[in-house]
Amino acid sequence: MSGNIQQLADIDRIIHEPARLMIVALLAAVEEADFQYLRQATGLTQGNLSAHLSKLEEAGYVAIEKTFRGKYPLTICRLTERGRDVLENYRKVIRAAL
Amino acid sequence: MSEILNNIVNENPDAIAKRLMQKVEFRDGLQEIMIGISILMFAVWNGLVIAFQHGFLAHKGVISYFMLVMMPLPVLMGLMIKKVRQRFLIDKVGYVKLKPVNRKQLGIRQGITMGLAFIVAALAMFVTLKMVIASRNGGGVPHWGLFTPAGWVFVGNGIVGGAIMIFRVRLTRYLIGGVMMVALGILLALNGVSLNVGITILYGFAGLLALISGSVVFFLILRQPAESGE
Repeated sequence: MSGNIQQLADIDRIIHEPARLMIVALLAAVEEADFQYLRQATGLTQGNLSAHLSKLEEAGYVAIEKTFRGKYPLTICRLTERGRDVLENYRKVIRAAL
Repeated sequence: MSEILNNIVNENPDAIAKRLMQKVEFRDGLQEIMIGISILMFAVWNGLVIAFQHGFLAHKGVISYFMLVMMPLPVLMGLMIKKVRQRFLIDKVGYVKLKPVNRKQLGIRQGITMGLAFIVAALAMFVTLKMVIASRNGGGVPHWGLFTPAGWVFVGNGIVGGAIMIFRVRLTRYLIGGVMMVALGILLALNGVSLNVGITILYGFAGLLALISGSVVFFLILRQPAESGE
C-alpha cells in the first residue's frame, strides 16, 4: 500500500491539473475534436482552454492542427500515442493509490 | 467537470467514450428529430394498414410505402444530419470525430435488436390470431388477467419504450416522456382499443415527443450566436 502511495509523488504533473486532465480524457474518448467542441464540453473559457492546450502540445500529449472548413477556422486537437500512454499510466497509479 | 474527473479513474475509457458519443449525438437535437420522424413514419404506416385493410392494391400501397419510405429513411436521415451539421452547426456546437464503431459490438447490438423485433412481431401476430379466432367463435375479445391480449402488447410496448427513454437516452426531459409512455400504454390497454389503433397512438406519441424535443433543442442552438473557432 505504502509503495503505491509513494508512486503518487512521481505522477505526471502536466496531466494531473484538473482542466488538462479533463481535456485529455475527452480527447481519449474521441478520435479528434475542434476547439469549439472542447470549449463546450469542458466549460473552460477560450483563453484558459488555449493555454492548457498549448501546455499539452508542448509536452507532446496533444497534436494540434489548424485548418479551415469553408470560412470557419478549425483548430483540430487529437491525443497522441504518448498522451494516451500517459493517461493510462495516470489512471493506473491513481487507482492503485486510492 | 467533476463528473468527468470522477469517471476518469474508476471507469473504463470505452464506457466514457460511449456516454460521450451519446451526448455528442443528442447535443443539437438533429438525432432526436431523425428518431422522431422515423417513429412517426412507423405510426403512419401502421395507420395506413388500418385505413387500407381491404383490397389488393391498398395492400400493395402499404407495402410499397414501407419499402420506399421506411427502409431508406435511416440512411437518408443520417446523411442529412451530417450535411446540416457541417453546413449550419459547426460554428455553434463544434466539430468532433468519434472513434470508429467496433464492428463486432455493432453486429451483436443489431442482432439483439433484430431478435427483439422478431419476438415483438411474433407476439403481435399471435395476439392478432387469438383475437380473430375468438371473435369468429363468437366469444368476444378474450381477457388474459387484467387486459386483453392487445392490451398486454400496449403495456409491454409502453414499458419497453418508457424504459428506453429513461435508461437509454438518459436525458432529463425524457424522464417525464418515459413515464408518460408507460402511462399511455396502460391507458390504451384499459380502453380496449384495437391492436393497430393502439400501436399507432403509442408510437405516434413517442415520435411526436422526440420530434418536438429535438426541434426545440435545434432551434435553441440556431439562436445561439456563432463563436470563433480559435
